[in-house]
Amino acid sequence: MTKRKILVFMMALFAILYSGTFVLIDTFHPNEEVVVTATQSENKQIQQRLKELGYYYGNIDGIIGSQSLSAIRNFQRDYGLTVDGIVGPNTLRALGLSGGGSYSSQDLYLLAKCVYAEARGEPYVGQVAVAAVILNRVDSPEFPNTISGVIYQPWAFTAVHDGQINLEPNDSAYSAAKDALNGWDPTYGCLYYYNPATATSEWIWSRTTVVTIGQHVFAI
Amino acid sequence: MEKSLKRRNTILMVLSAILFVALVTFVVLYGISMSSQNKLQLDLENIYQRNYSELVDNINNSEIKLSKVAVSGENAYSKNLLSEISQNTAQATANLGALPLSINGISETIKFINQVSGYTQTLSQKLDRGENLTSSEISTLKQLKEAFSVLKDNINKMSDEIYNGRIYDTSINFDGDLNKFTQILQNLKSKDVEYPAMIYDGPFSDSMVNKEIKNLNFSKVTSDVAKSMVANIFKNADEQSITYLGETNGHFKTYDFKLTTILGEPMYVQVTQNGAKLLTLSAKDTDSTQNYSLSDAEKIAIDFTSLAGIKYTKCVWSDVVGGDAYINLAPTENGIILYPDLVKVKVDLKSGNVVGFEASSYYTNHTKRTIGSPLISTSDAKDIVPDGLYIKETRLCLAPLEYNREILCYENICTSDGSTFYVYVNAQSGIIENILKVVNTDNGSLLM
Repeated sequence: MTKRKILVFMMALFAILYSGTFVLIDTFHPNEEVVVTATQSENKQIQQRLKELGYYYGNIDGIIGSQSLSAIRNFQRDYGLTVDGIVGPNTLRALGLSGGGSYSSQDLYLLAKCVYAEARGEPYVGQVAVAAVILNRVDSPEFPNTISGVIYQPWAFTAVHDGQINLEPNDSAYSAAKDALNGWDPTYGCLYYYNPATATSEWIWSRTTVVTIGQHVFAI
Repeated sequence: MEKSLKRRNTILMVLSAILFVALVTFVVLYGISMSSQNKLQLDLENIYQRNYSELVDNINNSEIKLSKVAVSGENAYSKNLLSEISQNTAQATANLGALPLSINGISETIKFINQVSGYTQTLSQKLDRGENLTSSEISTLKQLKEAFSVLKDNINKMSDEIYNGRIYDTSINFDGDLNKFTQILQNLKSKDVEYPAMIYDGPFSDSMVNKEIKNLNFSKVTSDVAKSMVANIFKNADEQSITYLGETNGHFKTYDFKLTTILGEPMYVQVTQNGAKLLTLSAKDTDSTQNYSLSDAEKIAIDFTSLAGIKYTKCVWSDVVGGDAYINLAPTENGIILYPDLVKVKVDLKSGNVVGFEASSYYTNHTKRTIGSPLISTSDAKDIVPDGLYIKETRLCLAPLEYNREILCYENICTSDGSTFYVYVNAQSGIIENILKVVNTDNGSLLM
């Protein structure tokens, strides 16, 4: 009896002490590699980058021949990508070359996650507006040039900083993200938003206010 | 008595043993947890250090290549150098974006480096077309080299600050809105470093950011006029249910309304202050019921757009996602599709109502244009389409290719191995300007 009690006690203690030390590692959805039809100048960029990384020794001619293909395959093997010789968004990203303004379904998912984490309590148009701000930052010279670069920029979004980004988005967040990718921007070019009730940064108040939607002030 | 004392001693011993074991377990687990936390912090620190090293390399390389291009008189060599600078600087902004810097302190630096990337890419393409650099472009490149020397010195100086400690530790130390790590870059602002103006039409140029609105030369109306316009478009909403919310004063200036219809979900409507034109309508619709067909939806979209004051549009691309149809409409001129002036409409396939409308491209770009005549024929254009593609349709369009360039093209809708491609052949020069592929995903089709 006593032994069992000790055992139960130990297990409870173990559980209590250990639960605090767990690190949640979110499993990401497998990324679909989609074929991007590259132009010759994009192919040249790919060859140039492969050459810099020591995978390609041929001419920078923009023509993907057998030499380029084997360089792409070797690169994909070394970087843990699907070895298919196709330069999709993952391979482009691994090469340090962004997709050139095209958005993949992975981007839609990431955008929906950020909208859900940042604005799930907001009216629908406020969710579209948050997604639009992220896309405006991608286009702006003042911020990184990819959706993931903008979302994961350190200290850019509270919900990324505190891990809420890993919550599964709902239909509304998906729909808002999709609308923004289709060109909806109720803020017409805003790069910032904040909740005046909780914002701690003094600097953010100095930005020019464009519109208030729900709890968020949108600014340029 | 003695028995109970003995018993108490046993209990005490057992309790002490339990406590001892608990303490040892706690210490061991705490140790494990701390070491795993340290390990994670070290992993993070290593990622920061890698990005910082790459940033230093990319900035150093750019500076060296900028000084080379300033002295190189050889176009082919300069072209490659400029293209390499563009890549080095693009990579440098990616590195900056991955470092733990406060965003308010580095946006100007990122902007400068991004614009250098866009500028050098544009110049490289210019040389690729066989043109020469102008003397003012060469002098801008020399000034850029000077600005990069200062930037390089400061970024290199950051290493003195951080190598003693670690980037992670330096970065979490905030002073006001800036962290210590960012302050080294922020100080750049106060030093007299001249960022030369880069005049070009390319990625990140100022002309792209502040695009001129061409089609809103109307006088300003009151919010009441805008409200009656809304009531006129949304016939199924009585004027009582239209609430005025306020103004949006961004690139477009609008009056904003909330509209509640019998359908339930509120709609957010934005009407331009000049001319009271419906600019944007946003509403949630997550119901996937489909009572209407896509062709019904296309007709609904065209009628609604006409009611909103944009007439003679044609459906050029549509897609069904969930219970919504996304319809893209373009005006035409002499049969030529005007792609820069796209109007986007979202139709709820359950009720047949318009639940989304977006006309900012239309009001930005639609204007009286002089479109030249095609110099090559439709059959010539078809010959230029690469072999292996089966052409389904060829039509003339004005394509917004890149950075405010509008080019008259033959749009060839083709299929190959079950995939759909759009091939754009320049109607004057006959070169292929762009190829887009339709990529089908779970969340609808994408044009990439």
